[in-house]
Amino acid sequence: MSVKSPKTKRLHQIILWGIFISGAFLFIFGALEENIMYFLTPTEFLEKPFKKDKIYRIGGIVQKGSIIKAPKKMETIFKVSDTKQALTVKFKGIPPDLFQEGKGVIAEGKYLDGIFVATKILAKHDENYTPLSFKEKEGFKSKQTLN
Amino acid sequence: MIIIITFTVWRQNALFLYQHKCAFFVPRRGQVIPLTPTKVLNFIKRYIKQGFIFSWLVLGVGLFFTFYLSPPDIVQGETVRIMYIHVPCAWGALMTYFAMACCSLYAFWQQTPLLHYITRSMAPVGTLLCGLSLITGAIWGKPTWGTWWVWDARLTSMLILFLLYFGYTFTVKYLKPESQALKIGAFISLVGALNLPVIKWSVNWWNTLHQPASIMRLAKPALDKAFLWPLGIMCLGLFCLCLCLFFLNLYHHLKTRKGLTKGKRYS
Repeated sequence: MSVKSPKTKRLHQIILWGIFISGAFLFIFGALEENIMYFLTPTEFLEKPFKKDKIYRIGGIVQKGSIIKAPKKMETIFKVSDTKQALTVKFKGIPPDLFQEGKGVIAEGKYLDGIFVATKILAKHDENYTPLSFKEKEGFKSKQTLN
Repeated sequence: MIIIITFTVWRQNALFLYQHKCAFFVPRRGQVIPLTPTKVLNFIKRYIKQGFIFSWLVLGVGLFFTFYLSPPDIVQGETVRIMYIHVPCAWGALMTYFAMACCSLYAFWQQTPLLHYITRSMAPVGTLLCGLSLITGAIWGKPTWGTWWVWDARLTSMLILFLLYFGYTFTVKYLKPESQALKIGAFISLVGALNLPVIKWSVNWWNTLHQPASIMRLAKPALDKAFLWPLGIMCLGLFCLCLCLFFLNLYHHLKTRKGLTKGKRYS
């Protein structure tokens, strides 16, 4: 092997360190895979066997026409869907302002007797931004993506 | 990010272009002159005032756009205006860290101490931007999502970036001797650079509360033109301001290295 200059040696060292550390990061992320998902979609949630008293988070889009409000009991019942499956969610409390039909939501709580009893609701908004003036235009439909 | 790479490569040549205004001789065609701290100091002294005036002007125009000329969003209403501070800060924090990593890599390869000082000057700017993006994000999240903070992938990785910035700053500030501290700091910036792809693609790889990318993606931007103009102006203004702050930091560090500041010395 020919004699390498210090500069080339340093370059090789950098490349080797880079590969080693990238490998370590990939290993760590592989181990954390389950916790990195902030929420599960209804399909993913129903696939797994769930524990009764464990707190889960499910996310999806509020199904149109599914919000039922009981203002006296401060309860809201709605369905979360990911276009394939829907889950009924019961929430006690005041939902956030952006909580609407056809918009994203994340519910945190327990799954009891076929209904997801949520203790916390977070409204999720998608990446589309449209000016308010577009509302008046005819035939305008806001695009709501699953993410 | 491509802009930052081209800029960091171009900067070295730019100082040659302005040579005739501040140095004692003009380089002839083909003459290679190394970048020395004195040349950098002269460049900064010459242009820093104009730089600050320009950047504040652009930011002023940008803020006017933000508060008067930008339309409210159809879903979020007026709170969308926080985006014009949050997004440029977040982009700036990522790009600054990327530039720091590139400079550190280049410094290790070429063994140039000046590049370590450049990295060191970028760190406070990056910390400020990262902190601002986290705070404005929390302020934006409370009315829209309903919470100040969640431990989802995007927010957690941005917090990790913030901690990395602090790690770098404290390492280079408190470790003695100076040259060793800079090398360890450069190592931190290189290892932390692996966090950057995680931040960028965390919203695509995993289910997060934070929404996916609206602009920096392969598809068409999800923002209307009315939103893109104020955002672009704020980005430009913030970039210029951060550049000026960076040059100010660099000036201070280089002067200290030369022993020309009162009371502070580098070992």
